[in-house]
Amino acid sequence: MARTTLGLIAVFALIAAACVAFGAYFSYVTLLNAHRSVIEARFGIAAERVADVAEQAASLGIALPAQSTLTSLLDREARVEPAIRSMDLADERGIVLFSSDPARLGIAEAQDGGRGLTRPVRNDLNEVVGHVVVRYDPQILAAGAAALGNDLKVIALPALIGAGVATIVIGLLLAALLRRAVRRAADPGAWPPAARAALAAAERVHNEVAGKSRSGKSPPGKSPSGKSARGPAESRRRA
Amino acid sequence: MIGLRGGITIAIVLILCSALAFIGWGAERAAQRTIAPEILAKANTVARSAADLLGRAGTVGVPFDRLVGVSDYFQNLRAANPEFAQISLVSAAGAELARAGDAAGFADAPQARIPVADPSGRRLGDVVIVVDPTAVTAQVGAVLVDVAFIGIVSLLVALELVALVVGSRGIGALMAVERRLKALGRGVLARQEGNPGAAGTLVGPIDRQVNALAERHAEIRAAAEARGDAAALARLGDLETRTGLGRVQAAESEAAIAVRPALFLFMLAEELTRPFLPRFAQTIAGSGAFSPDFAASLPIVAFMAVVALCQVPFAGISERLGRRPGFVIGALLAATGYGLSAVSPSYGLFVGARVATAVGYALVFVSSQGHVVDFSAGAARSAALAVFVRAIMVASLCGPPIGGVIADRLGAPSAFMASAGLALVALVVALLTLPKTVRRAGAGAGVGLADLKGAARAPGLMALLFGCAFPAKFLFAALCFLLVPLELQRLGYSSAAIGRFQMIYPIIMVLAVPFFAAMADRFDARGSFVVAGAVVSGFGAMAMVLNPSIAFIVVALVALGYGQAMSIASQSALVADTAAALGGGRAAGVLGLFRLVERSGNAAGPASAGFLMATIGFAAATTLIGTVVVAGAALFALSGLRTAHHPRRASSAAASEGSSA
Amino acid sequence: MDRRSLLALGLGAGAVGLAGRLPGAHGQPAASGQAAPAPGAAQAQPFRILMLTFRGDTDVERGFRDYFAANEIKVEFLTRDVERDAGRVKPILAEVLPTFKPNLIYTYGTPNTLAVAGPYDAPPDSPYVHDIPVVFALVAAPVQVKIAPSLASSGRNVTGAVHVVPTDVQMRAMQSYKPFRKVGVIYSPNERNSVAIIEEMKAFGAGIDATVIAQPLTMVGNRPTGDGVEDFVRNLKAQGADWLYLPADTFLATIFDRVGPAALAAGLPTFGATEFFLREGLGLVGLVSRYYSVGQLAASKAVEILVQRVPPRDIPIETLRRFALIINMNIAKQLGVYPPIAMLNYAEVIT
Repeated sequence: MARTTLGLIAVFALIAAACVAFGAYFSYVTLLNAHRSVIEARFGIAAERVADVAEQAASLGIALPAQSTLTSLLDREARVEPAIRSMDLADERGIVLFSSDPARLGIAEAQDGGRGLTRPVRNDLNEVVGHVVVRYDPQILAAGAAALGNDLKVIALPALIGAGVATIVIGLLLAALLRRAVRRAADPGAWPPAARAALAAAERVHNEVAGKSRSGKSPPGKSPSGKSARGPAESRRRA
Repeated sequence: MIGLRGGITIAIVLILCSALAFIGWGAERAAQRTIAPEILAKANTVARSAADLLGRAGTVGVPFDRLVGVSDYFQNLRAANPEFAQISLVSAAGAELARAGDAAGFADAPQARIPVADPSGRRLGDVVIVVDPTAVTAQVGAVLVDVAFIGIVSLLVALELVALVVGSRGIGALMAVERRLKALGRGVLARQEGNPGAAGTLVGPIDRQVNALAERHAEIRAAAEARGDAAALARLGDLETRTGLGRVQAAESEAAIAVRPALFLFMLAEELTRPFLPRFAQTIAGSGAFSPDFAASLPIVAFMAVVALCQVPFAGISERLGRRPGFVIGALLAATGYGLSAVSPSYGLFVGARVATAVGYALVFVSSQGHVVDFSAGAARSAALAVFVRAIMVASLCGPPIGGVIADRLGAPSAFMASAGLALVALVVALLTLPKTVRRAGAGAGVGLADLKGAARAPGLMALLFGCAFPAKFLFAALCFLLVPLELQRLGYSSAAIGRFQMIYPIIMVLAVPFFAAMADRFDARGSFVVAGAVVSGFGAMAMVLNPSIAFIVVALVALGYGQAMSIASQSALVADTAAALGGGRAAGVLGLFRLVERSGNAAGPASAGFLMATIGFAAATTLIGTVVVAGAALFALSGLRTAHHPRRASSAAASEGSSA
Repeated sequence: MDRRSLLALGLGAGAVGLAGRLPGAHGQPAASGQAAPAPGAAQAQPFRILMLTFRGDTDVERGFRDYFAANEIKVEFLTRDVERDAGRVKPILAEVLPTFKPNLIYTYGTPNTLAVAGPYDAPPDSPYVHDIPVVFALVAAPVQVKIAPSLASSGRNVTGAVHVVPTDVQMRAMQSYKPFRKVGVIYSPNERNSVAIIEEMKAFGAGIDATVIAQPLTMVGNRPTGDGVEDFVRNLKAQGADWLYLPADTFLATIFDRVGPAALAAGLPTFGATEFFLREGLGLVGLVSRYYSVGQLAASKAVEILVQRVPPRDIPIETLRRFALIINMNIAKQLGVYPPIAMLNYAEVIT
């Protein structure tokens, strides 16, 4: 019985701790996503502006490779955000046509594997004719992730331990209460009110029906043997 | 008193909520330190872009004081960037010219301020963006609510698993103690059946008191009988009803419920798929030949139809195979089905995988039910079936939210894989817990076609089955499995949120079925309860015509829960009455027919709902199905509420309500 | 906040030309790089395309040819101009077809297209081109002039690009510039196309609870005249019209120089369906198809026919997915009706 109770309490403590760990991890992931989306949204605005210009030119019949003024626009936009490493305009096959970084001209932007943010450039047929690609310093994401991770660790560990310990303490407390209830239940005098009322009713009916007039509250039947007699004494001592 | 399990559950809920609140607070601080500066940087970029545009307006000749649609433009920017509390345009003199949002509540919030210049470079005013510092933490809050749900749900799961982990001996002792204490707490002095096992020393004193009382009662009763004292006997009888004296309270039958953990895990596997299945089916169907609503309903319908059709033949098959092999084969089949569903490249294969799962599901269900019936008899059987039902109900309570969260965070294929894993775990658990050889107790349960035909001629049965049983399941399956998930998805709710909505029905059922069953017995009005339940659930669905909003969806689900809770136990009791009245082999036929009709309702519900949703829309479809339910109830009521008067109790029939899904 | 907002206007338009095709389906091949059909080696012989222009080379033809170049498809073009006389089509065909043997004929405008392909209900033995695919550009109303029974399919060897902007897309653009409850429109009652547009305007107006005041031009016999058009404009203003809409009406286009100034004098903002009205007719704002893009759209259909070997009957007749919003800021200033700021993100502004 004691082993069972302890086992149960341990299982519950583990569940509580696991849930807290879960919560901390999900919070971390959510914050991480929020962090990234904020940063990417910022770079996305710049990419969007370039894409708009390219689309308007395309609609006037200036083919993408001919939009040479885009280089200066890319340069300007890339300079506004120091974290932007390069900003390219690639054709629909991903070949960089213009870039704020001259070294990237002519390469296939998808091949450099760098973390890139893209916005499509579409013509009036709604066909994608190219992409604006922003590459930014991955360090700012990593730094944010590290800071968030540290902050949450400081919070999550005490919470996790606290939840586990609190569960164990309450579990032991409940187990003690249960034990006490069991001991009290051995003595009808210490039974819960509903049981005492039922007992009293039973005795009243029994006494009346049996036509006998036994006195007092002696335990019913012919078994007021040792244990039940000791019950009340025990409970009184404890009370 | 609160038992150990109940107490610790409440305690853990409190502990978990405080711990998660603490983490929420920590997340808020982390966001303030790391993300808030990034948001401010973004606000600067957006403000610069807006200032550019306003400057361009000046360049093309729009006077600064005649700018049009600036507030609308700002409003759109805010819609795209919810973390901005306010965007405004302030003139050089400091007057506010345009504004979207209201930052009145954020006194010290960080803000970005970028000047707007005319072509000559003169500063005309400023674009000011005030950042809402709580926007990011609101996202974290939503996640923590998810986690709290997972926590509570995993607690329930753990309570189920405890039965497995601790083993019947250890937990049996604890249960024996708690059962006695609970009985005393309610003023019940009945004798407790069952071996207290390891708890003998603890419960011995209690049992001795109760036994002594019972013996004295028996003596007095015998004496009164010998005297022929009618008045005394009446008083004693009254005492027995009030205090349970002279009765023996059945313990949970352990051999019979050995199947519970395995069944629970298996049911959980299927319940996981509820919130995301319709959407996933639509995705995989793509823009193919089917309409989206049809594509969503077909896998559900196929599943339900297969389960319904396999019910009767599988009863015999599982008997021949043996319960354990039946369960294992079924679980294996289902696991394969889940795995295939996860990786299936085409819609056709996906539906096929669901059918395979359905065959496995039916086999597992029939085998489990068979196991319980094999190992129990009499009153213990309905107690065992009640335990069995509780496992299924808890599974349908816990499955959807967990599945929803998994699907949201890891994707639907991963959730299917989780189901496959659970089904395999259930398989292993079944191998460990179910006995190898099958002792057959009781009469053969095989039901043939002839039995069904015979049963169909039972008086009043068809009105009950087709007026109430069928429409009830029809509404339930249509609403819970198809209409509500699809509509909530359309309203933009995540799978996790849909899973939480899908908990409404089982929660109400778990809480209300025993209550209504007792009420139906007390007023001896089972027919009325069946009708009333159908009317409540039907009107709940019909209310959708008023306003197909989230509030009315909740109303419909709550009404469905209460309506089904009112009618379901009484329905079973009425059917059981009919069966008992027929007697013999035809009784099994009646019950078989009842289940067959119910399950056909399960299959027809999503099918019709998918079609109706595609043709007349969500609100009209729900309303129409609600109308059908009310009409069915009216038909049943008009057929005369022909209830054979038998002392069958709805509350005990409630125990056999295992097939709600 | 960009041209996508205009795209959004277009997508909801139920743009008739999209019938039978999924939105976006058109863009997919190019997006995935597959429309660029096997360049170079796979295509041994260049395709031969006969281009029949109506008034010399325009942006339409430029867009048409550029599309092949951008997709690296080798094409040999033979361009013949009919000098605004569709009667010259027959002799040109008689001379060119036997020698040049084109794989496809491109036609500019309704007269050329009809001269080449004839109406769809012409008898099978009529002297039109049947066996060579015809792709047209810049036909405003192919259904009304019987080039095709429906935009979804011509049912024959013909498809093409329409340059009109769907009416409801125009109405929505007009509404985003300045919301209205009443819109006036002047049209030639003998032009079926204009009458159809009025109906579409009314249908749109019913949806947003706005009234359309339709003012037909004075007819002399069965020909419209410009008589009293200034009074019509003033009347519409007096009846409370918030806008004057000028449809792509052939006769109306000849009196833009009278309508525009009258509207300006009456203080009535004007929305035109043609670029010409914006640039020459003192119109305030208009939503138009870029001719260059219309040429590209026609070319994309030619590519489907030549490279992907889709029969023209299976290629719907379409209009563009995006249009150009043109605002004449001088008129805006004179009327004191300035565009909402967000429009400046995607509008072309004439100053």
